[in-house]
Amino acid sequence: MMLARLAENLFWAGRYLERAEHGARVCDVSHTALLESAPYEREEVMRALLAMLAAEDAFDAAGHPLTTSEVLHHLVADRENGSCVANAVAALRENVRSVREMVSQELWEATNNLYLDLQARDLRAELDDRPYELLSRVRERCQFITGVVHETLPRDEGWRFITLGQALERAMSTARTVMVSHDRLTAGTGTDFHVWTATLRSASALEAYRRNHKASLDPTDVVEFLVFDESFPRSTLFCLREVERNLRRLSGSADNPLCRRIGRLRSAVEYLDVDELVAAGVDEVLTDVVQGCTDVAALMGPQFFHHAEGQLHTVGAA
Amino acid sequence: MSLFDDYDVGGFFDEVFSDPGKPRPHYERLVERLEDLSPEELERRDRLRQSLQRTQGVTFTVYGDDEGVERTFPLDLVPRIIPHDEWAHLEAGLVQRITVLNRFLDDLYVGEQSAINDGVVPRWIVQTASGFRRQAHGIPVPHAARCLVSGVDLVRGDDGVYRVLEDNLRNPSGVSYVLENRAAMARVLPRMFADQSVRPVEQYGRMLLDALRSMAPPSAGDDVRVVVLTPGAYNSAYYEHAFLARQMGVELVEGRDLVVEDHVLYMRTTRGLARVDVVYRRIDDDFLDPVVFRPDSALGVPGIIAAARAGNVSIANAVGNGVADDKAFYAYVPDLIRYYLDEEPILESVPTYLLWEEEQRAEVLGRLEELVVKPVAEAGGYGLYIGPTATKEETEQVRRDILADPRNWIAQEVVSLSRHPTLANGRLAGRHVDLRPFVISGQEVKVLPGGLTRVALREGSLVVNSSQGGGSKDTWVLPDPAEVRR
Repeated sequence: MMLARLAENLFWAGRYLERAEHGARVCDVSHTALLESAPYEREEVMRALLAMLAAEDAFDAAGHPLTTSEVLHHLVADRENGSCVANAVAALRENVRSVREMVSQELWEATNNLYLDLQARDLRAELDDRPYELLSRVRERCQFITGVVHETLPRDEGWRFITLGQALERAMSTARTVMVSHDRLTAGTGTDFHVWTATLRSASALEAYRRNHKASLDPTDVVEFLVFDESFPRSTLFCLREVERNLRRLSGSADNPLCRRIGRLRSAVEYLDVDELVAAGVDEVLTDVVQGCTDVAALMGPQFFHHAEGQLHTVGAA
Repeated sequence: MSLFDDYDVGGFFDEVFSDPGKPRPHYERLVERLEDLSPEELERRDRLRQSLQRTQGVTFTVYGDDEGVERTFPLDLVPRIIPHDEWAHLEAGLVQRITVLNRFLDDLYVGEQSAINDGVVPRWIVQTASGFRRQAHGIPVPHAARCLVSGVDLVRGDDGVYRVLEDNLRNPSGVSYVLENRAAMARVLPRMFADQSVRPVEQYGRMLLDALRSMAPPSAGDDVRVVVLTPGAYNSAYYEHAFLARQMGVELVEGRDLVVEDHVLYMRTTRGLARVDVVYRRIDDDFLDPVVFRPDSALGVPGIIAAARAGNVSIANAVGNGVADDKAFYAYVPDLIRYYLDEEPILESVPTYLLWEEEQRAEVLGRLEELVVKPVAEAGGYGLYIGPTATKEETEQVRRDILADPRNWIAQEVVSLSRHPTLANGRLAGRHVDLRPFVISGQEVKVLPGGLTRVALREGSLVVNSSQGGGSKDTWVLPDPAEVRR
């Protein structure tokens, strides 16, 4: 049992940590792809990048021209874009700051240092000049923070809320990556190989995939690996299991709307195979998965964070 | 060359030297140890002290400049020593004083108000005091321990007599520095403690928790839940709030973590609502409950006062204590001691003039340049007028302020604070100090053997408040020599 406010801060710290890391990685991968692509392909790569980070509507609404510089700026540094990497880092830091008293000093320092580091930089100039340096640094610092979480926090409720937030966010990120990439792979625009490696790199999955699938270029194999692989820590199924396990431990029982929802979602993915997935439509199925994750996040409120007024189930002493 | 070369007691009461070059008996060993240290070595230790304080984040927030800057509260490396007999006198005086203030407050809010009815304190003084809370009427407090923690400020004048300057009965802060200072001294200058026995202070968390648990209302179960209520991370004393919660091993909560249902207080946890029995609140009365105090307060807990009145939760320090640390009320405390205990006050007070008394006002206005004038309701050294160092404009301003609202001001004789050798620019120089011991009321009234010695680091300054450029000293209370020999 812990204070609900602090639990919510930790949950969101996990989500923002994943969001920052994933955003930095995907931007880095796409930027490399842009360098290698023909001018007529660039628009497609940029559109795909925006779609993977669910930023297409916001980008278009802001009226920016579709250039590499503007896209990267929007996704990484644009303070007007609530879900940009820099804002995710700031939100991560605010959440960790609120729980500073109950996490390790090292976790606070690692988070604060990343934030201060970004504050001190001219992000637009660095994105134009040497994006790899900036983006790989953000990714590495996020991975470092994840390491500090696992190496310095006791395996108590607080740790579970961070881990859970990270896994839930990651399940959605991977699902979006697969949706966007599957379209492009099956469209067969002649740059398959680039799209293929970029997709896997976006999920840090290139090496793991190669070992499992002998470098098959079949889009179905890529989808199978990223959605169903049981041992790869970023596959959708792996993440959903992680979410479910933590939710059950935190709830103390599986008999509540939240655990029922994650159970349905996890089993819907688990008991599907890749051919059925393709037949049913990758987009349709994975859109449902993302929606399912959103439902789970919404159900966490009543289960852990905001007990309905008048709902008096008291615990502990007295 | 010794650190004490050219040390000048400067005509003040010096805590260490009874005469130039002649340390008081309880300081002899310390002075010897210090003389072994070169100024360079002491500087080196001071840098170590600074880096310790910074990395540990021993900070407070200063309001006013740049929306709250975090500063460290510098620890001076020369400890202040209080011998056993002096401490025994202070301890007895503090217990006497706080016992009486607890009784007066309980009598005022849930009793017969006998001290007022018998004319010891004028009713209007109480009712117009800014710290009086009629909403506290009828709220029961176990053991009448209304001043669960008080931090009584003591000063010593040229005669070396300790006098009470202020009773801080609401939310006195600073005890975290008492513990942190001791820990830092032990790391930075361990040899200073050699062949000295010093009474420990680290038991404070336990003392506080014991007192808080003893405040549990009758309806609480066996496993009493205590929480520390803070206004949040942006409060100037947040560091201390978090420190105390850690020391006691209890939750540090904000108002939004708490909720009252059917006059019972709960905290919101991941498993639902968990009942809270005792709240050590570090939020001022006005912000505690928007239902009965400031309706715009987002820091407090709606309904917590009603829950306390229903006897389902205890709030410490009790609501409405401010009436008794009002600077005007201060003048009546000696009479209250005689009234309740039929004893003479053990601790002396500073001669105080009540500016609503016409004769006293006339005298004060005639010698403003010699006196200190204070607003009755301010804490933290804000709004203080010090006659001997004031400019003509300041004197005229305070004269106008007094005439405009005499009830808002008191005047006191200047107590030329005692001085203590303090590290300044690589040498030791006399700097003015005061002393804030911490008194805990629970089933009984106890004093932590130690306290916060605040030191005005600027040469000649009399203002020791942390918010006004003060520092602090580790404060050693020596054990009973008879005990040590045994």
